[in-house]
Amino acid sequence: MTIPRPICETMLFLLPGSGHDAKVPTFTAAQAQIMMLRALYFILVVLGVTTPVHADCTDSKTQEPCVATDQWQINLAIGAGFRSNPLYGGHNFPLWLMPDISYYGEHWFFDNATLGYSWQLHDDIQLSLVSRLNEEKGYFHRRSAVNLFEPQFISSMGVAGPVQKVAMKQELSVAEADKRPLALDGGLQLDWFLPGLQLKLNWWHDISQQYDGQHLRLAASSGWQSQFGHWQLGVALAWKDQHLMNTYYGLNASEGEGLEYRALASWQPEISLHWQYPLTERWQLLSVWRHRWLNTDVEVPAGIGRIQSPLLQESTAHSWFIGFSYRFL
Amino acid sequence: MRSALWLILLVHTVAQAAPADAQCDQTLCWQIAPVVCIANQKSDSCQLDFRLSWQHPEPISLCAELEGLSLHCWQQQTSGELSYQAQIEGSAQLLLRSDGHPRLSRELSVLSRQPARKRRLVAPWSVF
Repeated sequence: MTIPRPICETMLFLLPGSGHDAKVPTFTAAQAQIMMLRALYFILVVLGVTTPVHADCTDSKTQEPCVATDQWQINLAIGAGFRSNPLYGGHNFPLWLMPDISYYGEHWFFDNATLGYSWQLHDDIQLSLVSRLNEEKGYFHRRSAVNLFEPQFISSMGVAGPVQKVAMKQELSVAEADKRPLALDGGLQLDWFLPGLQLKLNWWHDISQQYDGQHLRLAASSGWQSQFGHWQLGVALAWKDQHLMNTYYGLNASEGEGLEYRALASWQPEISLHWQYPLTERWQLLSVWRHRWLNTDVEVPAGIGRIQSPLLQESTAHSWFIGFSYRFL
Repeated sequence: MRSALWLILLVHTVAQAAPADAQCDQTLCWQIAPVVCIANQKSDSCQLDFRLSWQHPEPISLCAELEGLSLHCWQQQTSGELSYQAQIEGSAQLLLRSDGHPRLSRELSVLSRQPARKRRLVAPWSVF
């Protein structure tokens, strides 16, 4: 018995030693049951020893996700970690220093490179006009020229059945990769604060007309305070349209040695966990972990199926960091 | 150090001696002090002990009200005083009526020791 792909993908983080080669994972029913039990155990452990944090911000002791208004909040974390780069030839982004900067006025806010203007629609609902740089370009900044069309990353069994084996070799230069544009996104954000749970829906559109597309993201996060510190667990599902995906992960005929690989719209699940443990009024222990499934499929030129974008070596992107954070203001 | 103490004493004395801000409607004037209450949070309930005094050149009948609640009435007097302990949430309107008509009003409000706080709309440490 095989498990449908979306379910497999949401369970990838629980796989024992799945490594980076699991491009088309298939699991047995027994493996799936073990993964489910592990997920349940993990959730019970986290929920069982903690109490939920109510984010109405009226209690001054509540640290997250509340901020004082009309003043800059500047935090800097020092430690070790990295953000993976799933591209062929991509170099991981080392994380030694991480900033966390925000400013919230009555309506305007700036928060970690997102600029916004928000309206309180209801006690627990906020609507915001938001803008920020699109993050896809980031992967292409730290990348070297590599042989793209190596046989080892092409599976003979694709998701939709047998796919064409591509054994060509071609070098996509950094200059060509850099043609991927830097785009500015604008859109709307709807935040809904429930007791112990925050729901967020984002609609982003390319306002710089670089990829002429849009993407959506639905996220849920929940925070708990326990004797071991403050925890924030988040899950998200992003949908990126074909315009966006093809601009960054498709290959035109010149890049694909005469063959065009058109990227398809993508669903990208994500899971993250934040942990903070206060040491003093300003110093905290901090750990951040995030895992994202990319699903960057392209149509095979012969039109007989789909494969993962030849630009990608890994089907996931993950980040982690552990260190100390200091609150300046 | 000594000059600083003198300065503090001077400021304190001036503050004590200064009359509360007077508000007038034609010849009817009143003073209320204090008009703000300090709480830990702006949303907290706060007890405000305020003192009200009024003056009028001719005898007049007046009533003081707080948020529609009658506090005290004076009959045919040229001045009056009132001390009252009010429990305030957010803000409250203090009113002086003459023959049922509002003549003077003042807002009593709650201020917070803590800066106002808002919900954060972007995940912390999301730059990475």
